[in-house]
Amino acid sequence: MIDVLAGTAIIVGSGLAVLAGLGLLRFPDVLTRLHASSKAATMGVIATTFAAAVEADTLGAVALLVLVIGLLFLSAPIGASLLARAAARDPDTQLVAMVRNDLGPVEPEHAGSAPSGGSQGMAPAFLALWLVIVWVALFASLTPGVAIGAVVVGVVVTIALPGLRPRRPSGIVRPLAVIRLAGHFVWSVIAANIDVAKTVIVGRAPRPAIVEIELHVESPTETALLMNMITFTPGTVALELHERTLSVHVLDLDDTESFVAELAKLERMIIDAFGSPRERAELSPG
Amino acid sequence: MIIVTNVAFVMLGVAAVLTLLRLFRGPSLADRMVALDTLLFIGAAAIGTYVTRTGNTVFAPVIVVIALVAFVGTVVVARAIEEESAG
Repeated sequence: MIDVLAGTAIIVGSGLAVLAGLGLLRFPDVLTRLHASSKAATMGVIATTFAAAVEADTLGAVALLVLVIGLLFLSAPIGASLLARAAARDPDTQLVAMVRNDLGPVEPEHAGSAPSGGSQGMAPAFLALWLVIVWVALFASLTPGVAIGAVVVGVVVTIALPGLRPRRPSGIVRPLAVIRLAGHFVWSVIAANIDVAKTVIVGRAPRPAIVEIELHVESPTETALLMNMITFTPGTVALELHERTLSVHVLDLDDTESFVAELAKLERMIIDAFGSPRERAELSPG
Repeated sequence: MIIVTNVAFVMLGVAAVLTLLRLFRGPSLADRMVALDTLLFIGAAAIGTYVTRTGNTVFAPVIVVIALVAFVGTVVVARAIEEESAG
C-alpha cells in the first residue's frame, strides 16, 4: 500500500518534470516558460520528496523531507515572482502579443514597496521555536548535542536578527477557515496543474495576459501569502504590487471576469482565515 | 519499486535533455535562469527518486541545499536583470 502511494508519487513527479521540460521548449516567451518551470518542476520535486518521505526508514529523514516541502512552498514562488517581474520590466525581453496587458509604466519609488498596515507586534518566541524545529529536522536526530545547538541557534538568531521575527497576524486565526483555505488551495493547484499540462501536451498556443486586481488584504503577511499562493498555482504568476494593486501574469486567459472572481474568492478565504475585523467588514456584502 | 524508479529516472533524463536545449538556446538571461532552475529541480527529483528506491537517506540533505541554492540564485539573477535594465 505504501509502495503504491510512493510509486504513484514518483511517476507523477517525474511526469511533471517532463512537462516542465516540454513547456520550456514549447512556450513562446520567457514569462510563459516560467509557468512551465516554476510550477511543474517544483511540484515534481515535492511529489518525489513526498515519495521519499513515505519510503524513508527513519523519523528524522521524514522530518527533513517535510522541511524541504515547506521550504519549496515558501521559496519557489518568491523566486519565480522576482524573476518574472525583472523579465517583464526588461526592455530587451521579447514578449509575444498578450490578449490583455494592464502593466503600467515603471514607478521605481513604488516598485516592491511593502504594504503598510497590520500589527507590528513581534512574536520572537515563535521564531526561536521555528529555528529549533528546523535545526533538529536538518540534523534528522535528537542527541543532546543537537538539542543544545538548536536552542543556542534559536536564541542567538532571534536576538541578533530582529528583522526575521514574524509579524503577528492582524486578526484572529480561525482554524476551520484555515483548513478550508488549505483544501481549496490544494484542489486549485491540482486542477490548474491539469489545465497547464493540457496546454503543454496539446501544444495549443497559450493566451498570455497581465491582469491587475485590487486587493482588500491589508497586512503584509496576508499579502505575501496571497501572492505566494497565486504564484504557486500553475498558470498564474504575481508580478508587481503597487499600493493595493497587484498585477498578475496569466498563462492562458479565457475570461477576465471569471479569472478576477477566482482570485477574489481566494483572497476572501485568506481574510476569512487570518483577517482583521476591519478587513472582514470591508469584504462583507454591500 | 525498482521498475517504477527506473521509469522515473528515464523520464527525468528526458526532462533534463529538454531543459538543456532551452538552456543553450536562451535567448535571454532570464530564459537561461528558468532553465537552470528547472535543471536543479530535476536533480532534486532524481535524489528523491533515489531515496525512494534504496531507502538510503544520506543524500536527502542535498535536496535542502538544492532548494536553497535555486532560490538564492534566482533572486540574485532577478536583481541583476533589474539593475541592468534600470541603469
